[in-house]
Amino acid sequence: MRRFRFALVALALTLGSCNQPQEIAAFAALADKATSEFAGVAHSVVSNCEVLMKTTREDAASVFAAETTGECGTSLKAEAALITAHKVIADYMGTLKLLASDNVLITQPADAAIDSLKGPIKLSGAQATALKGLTNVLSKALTDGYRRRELGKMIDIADEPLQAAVEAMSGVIGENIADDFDATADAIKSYYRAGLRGQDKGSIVSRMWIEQGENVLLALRAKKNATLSYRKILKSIADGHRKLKEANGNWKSAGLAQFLGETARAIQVEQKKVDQAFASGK
Amino acid sequence: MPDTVNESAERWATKYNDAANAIADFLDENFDALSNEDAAELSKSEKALRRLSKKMRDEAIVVAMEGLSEDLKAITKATERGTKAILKINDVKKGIRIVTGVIQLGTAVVTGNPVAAIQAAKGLSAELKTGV
Repeated sequence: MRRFRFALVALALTLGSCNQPQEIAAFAALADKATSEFAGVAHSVVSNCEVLMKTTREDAASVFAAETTGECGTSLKAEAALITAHKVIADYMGTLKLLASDNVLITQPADAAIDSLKGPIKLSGAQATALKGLTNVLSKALTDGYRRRELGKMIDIADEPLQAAVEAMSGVIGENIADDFDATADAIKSYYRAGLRGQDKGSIVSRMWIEQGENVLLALRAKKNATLSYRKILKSIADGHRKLKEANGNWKSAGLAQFLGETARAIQVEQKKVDQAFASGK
Repeated sequence: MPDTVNESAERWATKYNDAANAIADFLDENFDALSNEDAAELSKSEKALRRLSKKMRDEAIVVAMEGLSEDLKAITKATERGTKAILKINDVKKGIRIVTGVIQLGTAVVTGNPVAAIQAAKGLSAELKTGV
């Protein structure tokens, strides 16, 4: 009898002490948080257009025309498309985080039910406490199996399209948006150069004008660098996810935990850069 | 390999921007020799090219993102599956039924009743197969 009880309790404790997929939850949480910075990156397409409209205006009438005919309409469409694609990835990461986290199980009903049993089956206080502990361990162990199975399936379904989406988005950021920043910088330079034509370049006014232009370009360059950093965040997310798929449900693997930890740290480093660059421009 | 629409649009955007830069350089170098009308006309062309370049590049982004729709649908499918799993785990009614089974098993273990424990374990196992 004692041996039976010991074996069952040991089994329950073994099941319950299985590592929760905490590394997955931590990785997904960070990826989820980092992706919230994407709004600034996507909006840069529109803010660059606004800069362009300002630097290429001919006169008050054309500025009015630009505003009323929606010259930045395509930029807004591009921003919306980026945000939509990104939201799909963010929603996925948020769900992955929730499913992998340890706090979805409601154990309170069990504790209350055990207390109500104290009288009818004459459980002692110590037995009730032991039973509550055992119930919680078993409940977690039981839902854990289901959770792990579903996590595995979810990761399996999402990996291929996620890799494709991340690659395409990285391409857009690295090519189109990076070039957009360069073209905006060209427009700013041209605007400030035009202001100096026919002027005494050594005058105080001209020097202030040049300095103002340099500051605008510096701020733009910081945003471009942050945008390129975001590409690294996307790559870390894709790499972490690929490792999860390769682990094939073996979430306890030490190599996986270490890889996800390093990936999470890499995301954090890049996220800080994006945070700083877009904080002032929001 | 031919360019994709995105690559082609991006290439044209770059060409328009390069042309605008060439006009700006020309204006800088020849400003004193140009009449006000000619300088204004060239400046207008430069600006029009910059706007055209921007529009082409934004179109390139839109096209690239539209090409992702199937991948995004597949990711959404995975998200929906995960959401269903979370809802299932969170289902209070189901939770209470399972917890009741766990209590029966736990009570049998704590009070040292192997027959009841095996019975409870079997019931719980069946419950879990159908639900969580």
